[in-house]
Amino acid sequence: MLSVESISYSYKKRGGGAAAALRDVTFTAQRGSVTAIVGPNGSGKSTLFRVITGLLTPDSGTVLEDGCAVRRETMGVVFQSPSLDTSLTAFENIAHHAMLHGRRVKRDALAPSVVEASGLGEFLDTRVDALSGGYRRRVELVKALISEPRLLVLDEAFNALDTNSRSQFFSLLRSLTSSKGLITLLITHIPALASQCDQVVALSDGGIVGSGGPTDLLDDLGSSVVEIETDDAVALEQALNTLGITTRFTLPSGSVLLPRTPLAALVPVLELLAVPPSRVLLRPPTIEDWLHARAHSAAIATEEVRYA
Amino acid sequence: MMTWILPVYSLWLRDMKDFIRRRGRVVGAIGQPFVIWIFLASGFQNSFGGTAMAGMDYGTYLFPGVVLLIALFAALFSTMSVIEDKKSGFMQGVLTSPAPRAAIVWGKLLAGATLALAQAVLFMVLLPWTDIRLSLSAVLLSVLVLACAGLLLTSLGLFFSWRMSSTQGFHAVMNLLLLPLWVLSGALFPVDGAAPWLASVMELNPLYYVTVLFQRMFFLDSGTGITGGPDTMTALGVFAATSLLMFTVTLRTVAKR
Repeated sequence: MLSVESISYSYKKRGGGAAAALRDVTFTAQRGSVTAIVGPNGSGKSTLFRVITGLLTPDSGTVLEDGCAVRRETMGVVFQSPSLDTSLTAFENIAHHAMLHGRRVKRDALAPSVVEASGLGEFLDTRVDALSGGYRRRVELVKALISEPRLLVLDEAFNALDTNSRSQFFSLLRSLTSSKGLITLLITHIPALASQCDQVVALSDGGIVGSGGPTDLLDDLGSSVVEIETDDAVALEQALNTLGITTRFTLPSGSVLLPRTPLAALVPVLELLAVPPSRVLLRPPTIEDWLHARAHSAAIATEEVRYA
Repeated sequence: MMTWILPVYSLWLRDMKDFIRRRGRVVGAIGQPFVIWIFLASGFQNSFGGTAMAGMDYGTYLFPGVVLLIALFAALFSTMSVIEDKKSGFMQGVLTSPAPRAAIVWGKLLAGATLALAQAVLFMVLLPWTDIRLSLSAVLLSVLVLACAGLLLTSLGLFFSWRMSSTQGFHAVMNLLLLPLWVLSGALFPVDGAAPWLASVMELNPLYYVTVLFQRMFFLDSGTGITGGPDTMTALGVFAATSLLMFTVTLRTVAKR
């Protein structure tokens, strides 16, 4: 088990003072499970990544793996920015990284399952500067796995991958995590990916705003949400206020989301609007909805509301 | 043991491959000092002379200094890759690996020293086309001094590059500090002909002792010798002490950051 206990970290500001990047962050991640660490830009994800990987020493708190300090020998890391030497081939990058871990690898000894799932097979002897962004990510992933880690930390590792590759690699991660008993931390801003993980830890403004299994978190929003798209947001706002529907938040697209609201409850709202909404959608909630709700401190009802 | 040796080997090998695959660097590292040697040797042939040159023509006197300049350039350029590695993200992969910081330092030092030595020796291949004749023992001892100088110069470069975030800043340090160190090392002119104040400045320059030692080994058995300067044991002592100090400081710098 990975225990992140009461981690705080502040960056020193030029000219004095400090800016808190992490505030008393505490969570655990189980062996054999994939934990997503999510949050908007500036929420402290990258700082937390740097603390866990040992690139930063926290002001306070500890990171323990099975009760002991995290060992670099058993940690695999994939960075947000590429950490490859572009003048070397894919295999040379992997082999060099293995040597930094004190082991030599031969091409034949590369785990076929990893190479196959990464789709790197035919590109192992290609120089990295000739590989696309997606394939470079694959090299990074294989590189992280080559040291047979017990703890795998991935910072936005799936960014440059297309949907198919993302899905393939996530499946690989899942199977490796469970078969080898890894603790996998996936720092991501892709909510769809987070919803496939075993646990989600949400950060906002340097602190944890929620954690748990994706389905448990979504319970906060009820079994369904209503998404309303309108050209007259002010009128919609007024109508919702008039009817006392205060549990709502606005998505980045401008649509208004109402958690735990049955469609029937919308009838009086629609009657109050001079211009009907361009779209009203009843759908299951997503992790993205939950994150928006949390990030914007929306008051999410924790009990079935009066319309039920 | 393998957790120490393999990371050193990995970083050394990577720098070798990187260098070989970027051939333009060889041209730059050897071409510039070669041009400097040709121009200075032919242009100042009549300006320098006298007893301090021990009867040598200026081109002959300058040759070991240019060899050291090549080693200096090669060592510094090899450590400049640390800044690029930090920018490109490669270094973060190295720093999160279990490789000990000392192994990282030694990997870079050995790579820099190898490249410095290889390029300096490559320049020395020009010797048969000059009037300079060296004995085998002079060549071997010169190469030995060059190898040690390569380690010292790489260590000096690594000390600066590890702290820097831009190659422009590193170039500024090269121009403001490292190149003047070479100019005042006795490579261009002997200390005997210098004004007393300049001679005192040169004696404070650690690279001066490296140059003296290298020139002594280079002209060993050649029938010529450069007069003045510290005795060989003093030069060796200052060289060794400077190297030890530089390695320690560099290691501490890398271990901290």
